Amino acid sequence: MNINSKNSLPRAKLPFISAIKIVFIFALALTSNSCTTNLQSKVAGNLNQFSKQQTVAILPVEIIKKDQKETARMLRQGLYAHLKESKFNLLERYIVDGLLKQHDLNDPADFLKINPMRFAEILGADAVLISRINRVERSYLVVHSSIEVGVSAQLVDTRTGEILWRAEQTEQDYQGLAKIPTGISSAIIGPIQFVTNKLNLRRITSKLVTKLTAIVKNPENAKKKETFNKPLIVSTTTRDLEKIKTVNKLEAKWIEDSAAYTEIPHSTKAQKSLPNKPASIRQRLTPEMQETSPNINWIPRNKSTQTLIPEPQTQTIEKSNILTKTQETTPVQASTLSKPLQYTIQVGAFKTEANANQMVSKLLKKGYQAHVKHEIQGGVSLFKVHFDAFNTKKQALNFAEKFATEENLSSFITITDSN
Amino acid sequence: MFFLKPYLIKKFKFATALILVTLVGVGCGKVKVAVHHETGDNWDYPETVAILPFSYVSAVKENKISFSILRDTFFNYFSYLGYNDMPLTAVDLKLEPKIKKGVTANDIPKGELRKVLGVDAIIQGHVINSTNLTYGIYAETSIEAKLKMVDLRTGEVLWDTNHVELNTSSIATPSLVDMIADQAENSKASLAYNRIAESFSRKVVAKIPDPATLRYKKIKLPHIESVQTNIKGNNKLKPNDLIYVTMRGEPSLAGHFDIGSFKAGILMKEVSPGLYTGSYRINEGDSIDGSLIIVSLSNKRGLTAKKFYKKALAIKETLTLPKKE
Repeated sequence: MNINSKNSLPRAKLPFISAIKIVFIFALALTSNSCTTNLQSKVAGNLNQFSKQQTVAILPVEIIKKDQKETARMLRQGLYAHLKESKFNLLERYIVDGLLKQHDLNDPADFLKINPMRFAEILGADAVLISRINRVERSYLVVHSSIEVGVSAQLVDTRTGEILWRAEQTEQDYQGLAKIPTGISSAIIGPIQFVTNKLNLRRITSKLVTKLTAIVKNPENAKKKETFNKPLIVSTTTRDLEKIKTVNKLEAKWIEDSAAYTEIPHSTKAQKSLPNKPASIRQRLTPEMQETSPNINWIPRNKSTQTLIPEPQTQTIEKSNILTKTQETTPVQASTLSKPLQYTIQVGAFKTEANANQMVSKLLKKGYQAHVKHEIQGGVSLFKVHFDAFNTKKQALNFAEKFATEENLSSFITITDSN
Repeated sequence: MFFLKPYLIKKFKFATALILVTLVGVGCGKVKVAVHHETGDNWDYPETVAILPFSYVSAVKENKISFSILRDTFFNYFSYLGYNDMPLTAVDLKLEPKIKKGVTANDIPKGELRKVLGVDAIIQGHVINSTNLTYGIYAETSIEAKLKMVDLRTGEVLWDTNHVELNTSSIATPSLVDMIADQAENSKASLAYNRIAESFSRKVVAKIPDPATLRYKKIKLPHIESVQTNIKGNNKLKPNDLIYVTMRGEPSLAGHFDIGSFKAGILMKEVSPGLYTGSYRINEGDSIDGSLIIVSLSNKRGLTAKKFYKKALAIKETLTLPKKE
């Protein structure tokens, strides 16, 4: 029928119809995209500051299923190959793997939970590239088969925790009727060959990496919609920076509050033993105090603090120069001598009761009989933290020294009345 | 034998030819690398490697495009393996005085190469043939090259290969869309060579001995003992303030410090063995808001250790203008 109808057409029109057919096929071919990509990628402006002076470590790729191992290897190799052309320096793969192994970081699934600052100290890298295979799917339906690879990647500045680049990509390719098979056998064998041939997975992964890394190689070409509006910091770094800020505040407060007191340095023995103590012991009280206490520089008495009435019962002890001793000759104390004296250990003095209470609760948890003693000195309200009471000065001294060694905290010995 | 009509015989011949073309294409994709020395437990396996400029058969015009593409791409893929590969620009720069007219990198004696480059081994490449054809329904891109790695300390060839990587697209391609896409891609010669060089390199690299695991235990970053700065927790920095940083660590190395990512690579001077100092003066326009000070110590192998000063953050005081009433 077709031949007949064809024959019935004027001869001059035949080439025209053939041309239309070819154009139609080409148009169809071009419109039906052979390989689909879904790429969402954003960079931070700070990535432009990276040069060959900065080193980036490409960490092992996280996988969700065991059969994704090969794809993960291909992805990492592709990342290395493509990013070798970027503006920054790449840390050799074997160095990254060796150092991670040395630190028992063998599971890529843990990498996102770790503060990037730790990677800086472990690897010496300025940024780390953390990536994951989200899916590798092969599907086959007689005359149609497809392969889909999905990945996500994140480049993080280890010095600041800033996300320099974040991307999510799915690359898919298929073989089937929509691609206009070149014959019946192609229509049937093509999909089988496509889904079983390992080369196709490699080809798709290679395409994926090329598209994925394009923006990192030339971040200056990133469009506005491909750039983060404001710096994004990973949560682990934010948390740790907040901790440092809190410690700084506490330290400042501690220095301020302690300004009214005479300097009481640790004993030589205590100082020597502190660095050798395990971190667990040093952190027993609070991590903040562990950070601040060994380096507290007691500020010298300034004019305002000198106007404070000094505690009558304390002065520097002559022997160890560690603690304070009772001044037995002052008239103020003479009046108290008739009462039974007790010695107590003072570990802090705060302007706010909340801070004092916080310290007390921590000491109580550790089994020390701590309490807050409120005093007003020279018109300044102070909340002192005392604990335990001793009948003799020697007992108090011994205990204070032990306390300083174990808890890494300075202390005074003061007199308290038995009431 | 009624079925052996002339047109059927023609079709059969055509189909056979297509199958053969396909099979040949597939056959060329397989790579054979002759490994003469496996890494095994050989701790002395070359560590530093330089990839020399590739030579090529000059009679083949296409080789002039492909030889450098293949070298660059091969270097990128080779870097995945457990060797310290010298950057190509550094190799070229070091060899420049030696390469004169008529003298290629391959002509330089091994002893001299070791002296000039300072590496344990070299990789030499020679591109024999390259093709990039697009003829209507048939497109082809190929690279044929010889590669070998030579231990400069002993003169031994550790591995070598002669490989042809071929990518064809013809009527044998199962679908019309793929065929058109392949033709379009193939028409851009440099892109086509890049792709073929990638698959060439990936396949060869997969067969090369990888000493990565041998080196895991040997990797040791320089040691940084401590870091101190004059930054105090609550003090905000003002213009002209000086951030002063000291680091104690392994002697005779290169030290620098960063202020977060705001300022990187501020040099530190070794004032006495193992004691490094450096400083940075705050400028009016600096924007430092909660940055940590990070010290770095690098050795000659390019390994760098980092340590944070976590007791204080560098924060610059920001002036707030009084509100207009």
